[in-house]
Amino acid sequence: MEPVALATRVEMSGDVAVLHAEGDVDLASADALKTALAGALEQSSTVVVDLGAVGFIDSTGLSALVWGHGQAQEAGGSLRLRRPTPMLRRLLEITALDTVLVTEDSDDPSGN
Amino acid sequence: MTPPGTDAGGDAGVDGAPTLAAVPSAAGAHTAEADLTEVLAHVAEKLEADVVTVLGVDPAADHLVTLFTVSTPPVTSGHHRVPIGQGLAGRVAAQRVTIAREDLTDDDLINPALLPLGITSAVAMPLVRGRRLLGVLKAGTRRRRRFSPEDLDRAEVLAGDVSEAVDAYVAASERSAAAALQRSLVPHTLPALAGLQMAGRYVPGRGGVSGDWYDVFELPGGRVGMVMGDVAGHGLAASVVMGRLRSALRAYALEYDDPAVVLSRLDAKIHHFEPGAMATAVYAVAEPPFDTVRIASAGHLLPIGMGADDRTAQVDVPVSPPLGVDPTCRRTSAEVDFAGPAALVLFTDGLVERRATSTSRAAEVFGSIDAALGELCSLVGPEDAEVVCGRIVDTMLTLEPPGDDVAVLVVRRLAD
Repeated sequence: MEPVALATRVEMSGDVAVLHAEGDVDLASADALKTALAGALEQSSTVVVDLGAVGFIDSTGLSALVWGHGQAQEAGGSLRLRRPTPMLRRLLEITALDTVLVTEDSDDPSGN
Repeated sequence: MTPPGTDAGGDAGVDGAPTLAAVPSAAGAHTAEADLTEVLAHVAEKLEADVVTVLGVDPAADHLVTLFTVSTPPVTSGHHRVPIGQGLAGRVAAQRVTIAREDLTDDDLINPALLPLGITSAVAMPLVRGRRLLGVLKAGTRRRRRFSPEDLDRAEVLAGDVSEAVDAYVAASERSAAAALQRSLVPHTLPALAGLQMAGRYVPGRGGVSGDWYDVFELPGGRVGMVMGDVAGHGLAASVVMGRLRSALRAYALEYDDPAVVLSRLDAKIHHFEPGAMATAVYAVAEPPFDTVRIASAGHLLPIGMGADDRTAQVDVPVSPPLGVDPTCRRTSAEVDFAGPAALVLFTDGLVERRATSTSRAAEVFGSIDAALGELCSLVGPEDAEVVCGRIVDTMLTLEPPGDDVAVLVVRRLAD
C-alpha cells in the first residue's frame, strides 16, 4: 500500500461544484487538495467533496477540508463531504470535526 | 577584475576570487549551498558576467531579498530588499519575463550594494518552478554589452539550473531552521516533582519536522501543566505556529485554571493572529498531591490512562473541535482519577496513524486507528516512565516508520 498520488477533478451538478478526489491526502498532497477546493469554490459556493476514493487522509488533509468549509461559508454557501470512508468518519469523530463538517453517503449526482 | 571570458568561478587569486555573501545557514543546508554556489559560478562563466545575483521571494511575497551574490570585486550584498514591481529584478518578478538592458538606468539598479561595481549592462530572468516564482537571477557586466538572442537563450537554460539549486537551497535552509526551532522548543528536561515521573520523546517524520509539540511546566501552587499538540501542515511554517501556540498556552495557563478555558483562549488567539492555521491540543493540569488530573482536548487524540489495576484505555473526556476551526465552540474539561499507581500517556496522531506498507503485522496494527490505539494500550505498563516511553516509541516506529512526526509524553503517578 504505497502512497497513492492525489488526483482531483471538478464537475458541476446543477449549482453544485462536485470535487472528486482520488488517492491519498497527506502532508505532500494537502496543498493540492486545497488548490482543487479553491478551484471548485470559484465555480460555486456550494461544494460537495467526493472522498469515496480517498484511501488515506491525515490531519493536514482534514485542515484543508476545514479551510474549504470556512471559505464556502464565507461565500454564503456550504461544503459537504460525500462518501467518507470508515477511516475518515472515525477521524472526524476523534477530532470532533463531525460537529463541524457535514457528511453524506449519497452519491446522487444532483448533489441532493 | 575578471575580464570577460575568464573563469569567474575558478580558483582565481585573492583579488580575482568571486566572494559569496551568503545568508548564514544552518549546518544541514551546507550541501545545497555549495551546489548553488557552483551553479552561480557556472552562470558567471557562461554569461561572461562580473556580477551574478540571486534574489529570493520573501514570505510575504511582496519583496525580493538577495540570497547570494557572486562578483568581482566582492561586494557584501546583505539582505537587500527589492519591492516586486520595482527595479530591474522587481519588474522581472512581477512580469515573469526575462529583461535585458544594454544601459542600466537608476530606475533599474536599486540595490545600493551593487553601485560601486559600476555595472553598465545586465540581464535578469525569473526563477520559476512549476507555477511558483522562486526569485530572480541577475547577471551584470561592467563593460557595455548588448545581449544577443543567443545570450538570452543560454541565460534561460541556466536559469532552469539555478531554479533547481535555489529550490533545494531554500528547502534545505527551511528544514534545518525548522529542526533547530523544534529542538529549542521540545523540553530538554522535564520538571522533577514529588510523586511524579515523566519521560518524553519527539521524533521527526520522513519529511522533516512539522508542528508536533509537547510541554510540561510548573504552575503556581505546585500545580503542573502537561500539553500535547499538533499544528496541521509541515516544515518551517508549521514549526513557527507551533512555537507561538506553545508560548501562548503557557501564558493562558498562568491566567486560567480550567484547561477548557485555556484552550478557548488559545483558540481566540489563533483565530486572530494565525488565520488559516489549525491545530489539535490536549491540555492536562494536576495539583498536589496529583490524585486527579483535569483534562481538555481540542480535537486531539485522548491520552491513554492506566489505573492501579493496570487496565489501560483512552481517558473519558469530551473532545471539542480543533483550534482554529470555530472560535464560538463550547469546550469542556473533565477530571480523571490519577491516584497512584497510575500513568497517563499523551501522544500525537503520527504515533497511531499511517499507511502500513511493510508487513502484515503492520497492516493489522495500522489498518485502523482503533487497532493502533489498542496496540498502544498494550504497550503501557507499570514500569518506569522512561521504560514505557521507550517501548512505545520503539515498538510503534519499528512496526512501520512514520511519515509524520511523532511526540509521546508518559507521566507516571507513583504509588503513595
